[in-house]
Amino acid sequence: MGRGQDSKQSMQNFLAGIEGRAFRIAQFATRNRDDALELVQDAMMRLAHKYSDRPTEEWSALFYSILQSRIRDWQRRQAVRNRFRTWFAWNEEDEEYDVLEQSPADASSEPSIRLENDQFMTRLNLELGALPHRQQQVFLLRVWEGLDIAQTAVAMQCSESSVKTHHARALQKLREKLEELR
Amino acid sequence: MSISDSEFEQEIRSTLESGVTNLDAETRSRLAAMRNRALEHKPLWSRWLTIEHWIPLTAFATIAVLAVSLVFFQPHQGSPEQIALQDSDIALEVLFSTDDHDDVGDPDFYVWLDMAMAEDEEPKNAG
Repeated sequence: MGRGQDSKQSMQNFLAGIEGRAFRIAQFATRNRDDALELVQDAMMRLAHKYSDRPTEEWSALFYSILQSRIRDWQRRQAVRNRFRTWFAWNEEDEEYDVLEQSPADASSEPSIRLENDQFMTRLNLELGALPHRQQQVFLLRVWEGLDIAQTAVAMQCSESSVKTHHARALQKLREKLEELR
Repeated sequence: MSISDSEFEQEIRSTLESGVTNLDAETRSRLAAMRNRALEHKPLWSRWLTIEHWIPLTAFATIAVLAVSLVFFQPHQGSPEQIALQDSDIALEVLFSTDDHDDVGDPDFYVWLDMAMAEDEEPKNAG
């Protein structure tokens, strides 16, 4: 009983510590707050129900593996949706709304980001949003979340050498774009 | 002046962290609600009562019942349909024979036919 409570408390602390970063990582991938929240919720549910008995040091990598898997599913659904949209030529009003929703600039109009007045932060958000998906996610998992190369490779379902390549390219691009602001 | 990659990454990390600190109240409260929902312990049976499990189970059960009923409730031999089929062979034989058909209208003909068929069957049954 006590052990169960301890485990629940550990999971509570873990999720509380990770949820903000996880949300932002999902938001960079989806460029949509509600979709990002939904993906994070799925990942939380899955981790809490399926893997809470695993050692706590594994939770971070497990959580991001689940989240990345959810992000990939989301991208597949979006691709199908976009195909249908093209076939049925949905009205321009919807199209215009979605284009705005998907644009990197949209991130700056989010309430959470409106508070970020710092020019570097705004530009960083834009440049991260503009990176190719895998470079962006690898960079965030490695640099922000602190996953090692092997953990990132598992989460992203790619090889360790791909992780290194994506990381290096993302870093190079961000340096090119952001150095001028420094 | 250029900084090292690790310093640059550190700067990015702290910038991103401050972005999380500045998350709006609504997002924060939604994240907290999601976390609490994820931590709610659900017993196994209540998870099995969700519709996502019941739809495939119901479909599988329906298909199984249909399959079983098809296997076990087929028309058995000696049913009225099969007897009619056997009798139709005899009727066709009578109709297409070149013999005189005057007897067909005579009721005694059918008495004779039954006796003839019974005699026909006896050797088969005996054998």
